[in-house]
Amino acid sequence: MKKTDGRVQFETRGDLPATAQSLGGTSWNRTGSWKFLEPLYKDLTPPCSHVCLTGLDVVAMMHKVEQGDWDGAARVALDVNPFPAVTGRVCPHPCEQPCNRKAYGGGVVVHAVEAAVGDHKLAKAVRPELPEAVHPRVHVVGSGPAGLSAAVALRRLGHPVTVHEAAPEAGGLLRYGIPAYRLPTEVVRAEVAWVRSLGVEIETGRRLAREEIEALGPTIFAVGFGRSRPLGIPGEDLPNVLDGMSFLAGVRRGEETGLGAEVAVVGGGNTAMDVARTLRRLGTRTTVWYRRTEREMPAFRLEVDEAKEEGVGFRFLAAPVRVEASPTGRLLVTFVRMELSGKDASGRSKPVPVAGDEVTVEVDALVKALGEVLDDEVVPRGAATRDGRVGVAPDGHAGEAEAFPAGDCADGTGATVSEAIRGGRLAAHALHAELTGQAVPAAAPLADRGVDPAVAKFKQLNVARFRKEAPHAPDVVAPGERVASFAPVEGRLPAADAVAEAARCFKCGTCVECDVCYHLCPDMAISKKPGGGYVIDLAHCKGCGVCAQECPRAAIELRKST
Amino acid sequence: MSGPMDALSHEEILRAGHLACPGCGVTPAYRWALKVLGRRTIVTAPACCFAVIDGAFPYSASSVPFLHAAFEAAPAYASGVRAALDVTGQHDVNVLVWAGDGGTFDIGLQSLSAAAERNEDMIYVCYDNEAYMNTGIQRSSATPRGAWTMTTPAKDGKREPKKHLGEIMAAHRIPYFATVSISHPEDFVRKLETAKSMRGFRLLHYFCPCPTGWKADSRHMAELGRLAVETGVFPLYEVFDGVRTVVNVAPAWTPMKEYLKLQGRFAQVTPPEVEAMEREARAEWARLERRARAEAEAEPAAAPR
Ligand SMILES: Cc1cc2nc3c(=O)[nH]c(=O)nc-3n(C[C@H](O)[C@H](O)[C@H](O)COP(=O)(O)OP(=O)(O)OC[C@H]3O[C@@H](n4cnc5c(N)ncnc54)[C@H](O)[C@@H]3O)c2cc1C
Ligand SMILES: Cc1ncc(C[n+]2csc(CCOP(=O)(O)OP(=O)(O)O)c2C)c(N)n1
Ligand code: SF4
Ligand SMILES: [Mg+2]
Repeated sequence: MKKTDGRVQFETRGDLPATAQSLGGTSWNRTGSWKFLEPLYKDLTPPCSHVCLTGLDVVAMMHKVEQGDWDGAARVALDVNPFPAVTGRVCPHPCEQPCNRKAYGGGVVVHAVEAAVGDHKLAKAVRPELPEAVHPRVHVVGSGPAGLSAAVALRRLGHPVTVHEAAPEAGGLLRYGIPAYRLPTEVVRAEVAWVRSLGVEIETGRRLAREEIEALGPTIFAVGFGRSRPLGIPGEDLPNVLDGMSFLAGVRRGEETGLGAEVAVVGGGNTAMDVARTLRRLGTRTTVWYRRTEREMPAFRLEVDEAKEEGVGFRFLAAPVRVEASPTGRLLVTFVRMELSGKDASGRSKPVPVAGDEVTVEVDALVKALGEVLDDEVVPRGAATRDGRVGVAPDGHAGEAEAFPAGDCADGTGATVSEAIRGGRLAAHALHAELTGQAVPAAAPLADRGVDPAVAKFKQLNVARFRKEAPHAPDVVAPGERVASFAPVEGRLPAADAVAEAARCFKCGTCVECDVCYHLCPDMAISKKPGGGYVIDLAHCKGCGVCAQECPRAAIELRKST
Repeated sequence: MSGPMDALSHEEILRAGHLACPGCGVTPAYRWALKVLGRRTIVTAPACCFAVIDGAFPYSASSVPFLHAAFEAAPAYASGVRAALDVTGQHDVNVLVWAGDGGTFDIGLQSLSAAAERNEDMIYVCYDNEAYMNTGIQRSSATPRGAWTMTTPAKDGKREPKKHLGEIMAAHRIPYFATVSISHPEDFVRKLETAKSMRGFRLLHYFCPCPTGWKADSRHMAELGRLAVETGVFPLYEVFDGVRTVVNVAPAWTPMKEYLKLQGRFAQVTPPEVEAMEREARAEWARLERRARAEAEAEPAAAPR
C-alpha cells in the first residue's frame, strides 16, 4: 500500500483491510476546486470615520474602550487629535449623523465616548512617543487649537517648540470664546498643561507684532480671527454696542458680569448662540435677531435647540438699520423686515429689505455676532489674504511669507476646532518638511491598516448578532437649572457607560475577530492566525459564502474565484 | 462570539476535504459537537448524507472512530458499542449517534424508541434537513407541510404536517431532549454541554438547512436557521425527563414569507397557505409555552435526573 499526499493506493490484494475501515483522513481532497466564489477579508471604511474632521479611527478607539484599554484608546485618538477631551465636548460630531446604529436602537454617542477617552488621557497623562528634540527650534504664533496641535505635532517630530500667545492664558477660543457651560476652563487648562508636559514652551501675555513674527523665520501662523465683522450702520459706535467675541472673552476672563435687563443679539451663527445663552446665564432677557429664517442659520442645530430651551427669543427676517441712544440712556435699535429672494454666492437664500417696514425696540445693550475675520495687522508681508483669511499654497506656505497658516486664519478649511486641529498638524508637517527636507506622511490611520475607502452601509451588515439596545448618553441638565450657572450642560459619561456605549458600536466594516466566520465555516477553511486575524485555506474553501453573509460587520467580501 | 464558543478548543477533530455540499448546515454542528465531546468519542451514523460526507472507503474526515450502521439500526448499533465500552470499563467514552431525519423520524424510529426506552447511555443528534437528501430529496415525516420534494411534486407540495419528534421523545421520559439550530451556536454548545454532563439517553434535534434539497443559496445556511427560529417554525427549547419543558428563545415573529422566500422548495406556497403556516407556528408556540408553564407549576422544584 502506498500513501501519496494522504491518498491511499492499494497495490496488492493483501493491502485491503479485512473489513471496510478508513486508512486516512480527507484533507488530501482539495474541495477548493469546487468553488466559483471566494471570500476575502477586507475592512471597509466606517461611515463615522469617513466624515470625521480630524480623520479619527473611530472604530479602533471604540474597540479599545470596549476592551477596557483606555490608554490604547487615547493613543488611537492621539494619532490624529491631541485634544479628545476638547473635541468630545465641542466638535459638532458629524460622525454621529451617518452612524449605522441609528437604524438599530439608536446612533452611537461617539462624542461622549471621545470625551471620556480625552478625560482619561488628561487624568493619566497619556503621552505619545516623543523623540529627542534634535531639530531646530520652531515657533508657533497663537495658542488656539490650531497652534497647540501644530506645537504637539512638531514636538513629536523632534523639534523644540515655542508658542507665542497674546492672551494671559493659552487656548485661544477654547479658553476665551467657547463658553464654560460647553467647555469647562479646567479642561482647557489641563490640555495646556499636558502640552507643556511634552516639553512645549508657551509664552503668554504678549502679542507679537508683524515684524516680530516675520523675524521668527519659518513659523506656524495660527492667530485665528482677530476682529468681528462690523454692522456698518449708524450708531454702531455707541456705548453698549459690543462685539460678541469681546463680550464672551470678557465673561471668560471673569470681568464681564452683565449688560442689563434686556439685550438684543444680532447674528445667526454659533457666536450669536453662545452670546445669547451666556446672557441668559447672567439673568438677561435676550432676543436673537437674524436676517434670514431659522433654516438658514449657520449655528449648530443643537446650539439653537438648547438656546430655545433656555428661553432665548428669536426674531427672524429682520436686520438692524440704526442704533440711537434713548432718552433714558438705553438703546433704540431699529430693524427692517427682510424677505428671502433668489440665492447668494453661498447658495443660501438672499435676504432683501422691505423698504419702510421697520420696528424699533428699546434694549440695554446690542451685541453684534456677525462672524469674525482675520486681523490683517499681523499678517506677514508676502502673504495673500482672501475673504478675510490667509491663502495657503500646496506646500503649506502663506504665499511668499515664511509662515505656515493653520486654523481659522487659514483659507480652505471650515472654522471648527477639529479642522483647526487637523490644519495645525498639516501645517506642522509642511514646516518640518521645509526645515529638514523630510516629508511626513499624512496621518491616515484607516489607510494605514489597509481599510478600503468604500463606506460600510447598513444593508451590508448582518445585525442579527447585535441587540437593539438604546444608547448610553450622558445626562443633560434641565434648561431651568442650566441658566442658573456656567456649569456644563452635558454631564460626563461614567466609565462603565462609555464601555457599554463603545460595545454598542457595530464597528462597521471592521474585522474585530469575533470568530463568527471561523465557527460557521462548514469546511474548516478558516483558521485563527497565532498573532491575530484569520487565514483562509482556499484549497478547501468551497465558496459557500456563509462567512461573508454572516460577518456582522461586512468585513468579508465575496469575489469571483480565480 | 461569546461564552461557550470562545471556550471551544481550536484543535480540529473534523478534517477538511469532507464531501458535504457547499453551505451544508451539518458540518459546523458536527465540528462543535466533536469539540465539546473530545477525542474519546465513538460516532455511529446510519445511512444518510453524513455517512457519505465523512468520506468513502478508505477515508474518514472524523479523526475519531466512525461506525457506519444500517439505515434503520443506528441506535441499536450504538447500544452495542456502549455495552462493549462498559464491559471493558471505558465508561468515559462518549457514544454519539449522528443521524438524519429519515433515519430518525421514519425507518429508525423503532430502534430509536427501543434505545430510548432502555435509557441507553448515549447522545443522539438528529440533524434534520427535512427530507431524504442523500438519495435525491424524497419526503420524510420530518418534511414540513407545503414543501416540495421529489416525492411530493404536486403543485401543493407535501400535505401532511411535520411529525413532532420532541413530543415522541418526551413520551419516552428520556433525561434530556433539546432543539438546536445552526443560527444559535452558543445555545447549541451549551445544550451539548448539558447533555454531556448527564447520563442516559439524550437527544438533540438539530435544525439543519440543506441548500441543495431546499433550493436555497449556500450562503444562507445560518440565515435559514435564524429565520426558522424567528418565525416560530423551529422553536428552541429543552425537555428534562420528558416532563419539564424550558423554552430558550422566544420567536421574534418575523413574517413567514421572509423564511419561505429564501427556499425554492416553498415556491408554490400560496398567500393563504403562508397565513396558515403562521397560524400553525403560533399555535405550536402557544402549546409549548402552555406546557412549560403547566409543568413548572406542577413540579416547581423538579431537578433534572
Ligand atoms: C463663540 C464661539 C463658539 C465656537 N464654538 C465652537 C464649537 O462649539 N465647536 C467648534 O468646533 N468650533 C467652535 N468655534 C470655532 C472654533 O473656536 C475655532 O474654529 C477655533 O478655535 C480656531 O482655532 P485657531 O487655533 O485657529 O484660533 P483661535 O482659537 O482663535 O486661537 C488663536 C490664538 O492666537 C492668538 N493670537 C492672535 N494673534 C496673535 C499674535 N499676534 N501674537 C500672539 N498671539 C496671537 C489669539 O490670542 C488666540 O489665542 C466657536 C467659535 C466661537 C467664536
Ligand atoms: C434500508 C435502507 N433503505 C434505503 C436506503 C437508501 N438510503 C440511504 S440514505 C437514505 C436517505 C437518508 O435520509 P435522511 O436520514 O433524512 O438523511 P439525509 O440523507 O437527508 O441526510 C436512503 C433512503 C438504505 N441505505 N437502507
Ligand atoms: S444534500 Fe443537503 S444535507 Fe446533504 S450534504 Fe448537501 S447540503 Fe448537506
Ligand atoms: Mg434528511
